[in-house]
Amino acid sequence: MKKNVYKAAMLFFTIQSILITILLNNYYMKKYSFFQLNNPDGVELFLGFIILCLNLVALVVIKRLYISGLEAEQLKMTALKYAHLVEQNQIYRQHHHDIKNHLNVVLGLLSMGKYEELRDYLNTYFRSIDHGLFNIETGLDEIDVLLSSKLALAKSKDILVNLSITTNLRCSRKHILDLVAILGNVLDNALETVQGLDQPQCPVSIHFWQDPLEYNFEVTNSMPTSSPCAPELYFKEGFSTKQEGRGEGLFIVKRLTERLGGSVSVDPGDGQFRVIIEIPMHRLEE
Amino acid sequence: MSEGMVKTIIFSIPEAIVVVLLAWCISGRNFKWTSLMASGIIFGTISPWIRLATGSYILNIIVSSLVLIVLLKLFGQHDILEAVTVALMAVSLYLAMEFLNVKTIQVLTGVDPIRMEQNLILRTLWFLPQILITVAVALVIRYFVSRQLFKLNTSKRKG
Repeated sequence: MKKNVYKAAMLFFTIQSILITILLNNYYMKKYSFFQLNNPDGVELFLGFIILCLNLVALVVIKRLYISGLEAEQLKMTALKYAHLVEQNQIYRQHHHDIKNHLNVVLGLLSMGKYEELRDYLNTYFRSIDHGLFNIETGLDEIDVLLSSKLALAKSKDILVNLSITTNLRCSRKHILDLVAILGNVLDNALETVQGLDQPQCPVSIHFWQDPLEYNFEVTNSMPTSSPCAPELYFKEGFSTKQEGRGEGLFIVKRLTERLGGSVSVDPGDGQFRVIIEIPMHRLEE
Repeated sequence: MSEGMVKTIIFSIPEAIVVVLLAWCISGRNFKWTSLMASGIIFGTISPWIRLATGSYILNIIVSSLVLIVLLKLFGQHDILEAVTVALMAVSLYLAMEFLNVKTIQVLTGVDPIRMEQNLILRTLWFLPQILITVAVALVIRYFVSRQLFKLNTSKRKG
């Protein structure tokens, strides 16, 4: 049964369903003494006993289904976290590769004594770094890389981003993946929504700050005016204003945030969609 | 033509065909009309014999369900778990609809079910809507199951 709980569940509930239907119909027919054995009590007793046994086994099956559901959800979240990790790793590798190439050129120019060319080369290189990289200091390397990659993505799609960070985040190793998954999801949602809009400049605002007890993360983006729904709907599993098959993002964000003892709220209206995540500092740092 | 044979042709075979149709629709497989009709006709022909041999409603349904499982396995090439689940679900659904149908007619007309069973015309009038409703339910199930399978296949291809 542990091998495939879904098959066992299908079988149990189908058998239960038919036995109950048979019993119901049989009682109806018995009222008119139609199509019955001379002594039907034995068969009915046997049928009742089987239904009772199936009900008892159903308890085990339901428990297994519940555990499977939890495991599936866990896997979904792990996949999400690893997707972000892969993205971060790609950025690290790209920079590593670039630096190696640039150092080779620098060494080559140095050995040839071409100092003027070397100076021009280094000036161009620094300009490209200033232009291409974003200097983000949140206090957490993982979040810095995540924000850098999302800002680079936004830039490549001509999406204006207003970034304001007025806190120095601190987070323990065991919670960092959850935090990356939470922020990664919210940022992905914002960028995807804005990308689908017609207006040429639809800024996304990212604001991180802290109060005495909590870290606050606020992401605001423009949204189509026809889209707004009741706030609680956005957290339902499978709900999405995008195409079918989407709608896991905010559901997962809510789950992860609540696991960290925090809360998420959304404010859709006036063509703006605002997500505010509040996570207690002591939980994130512990 | 004997009365038993008439009843088999008028009631048992169409009833068996719609139950098999219901099972195929629940399984979401594409119809193979020849297999469906063949298994329906065999099932309908065997049913009166099962009825005679068992002599009890409960045993009759249990044995009929087993026969349907075997027929689905042979003609539909369903795997055993699929054959068991779709056969039992189909029989369960059909019986529930039959119960509702008989009870509704009894409440509306006040005719005793025993009289309905014995009178060929009354039985046909009770039987016909039941068959039509079952076919309609089967097609509705097919539409939803097919849609779900289509979605599942599409998301698998995307993933």
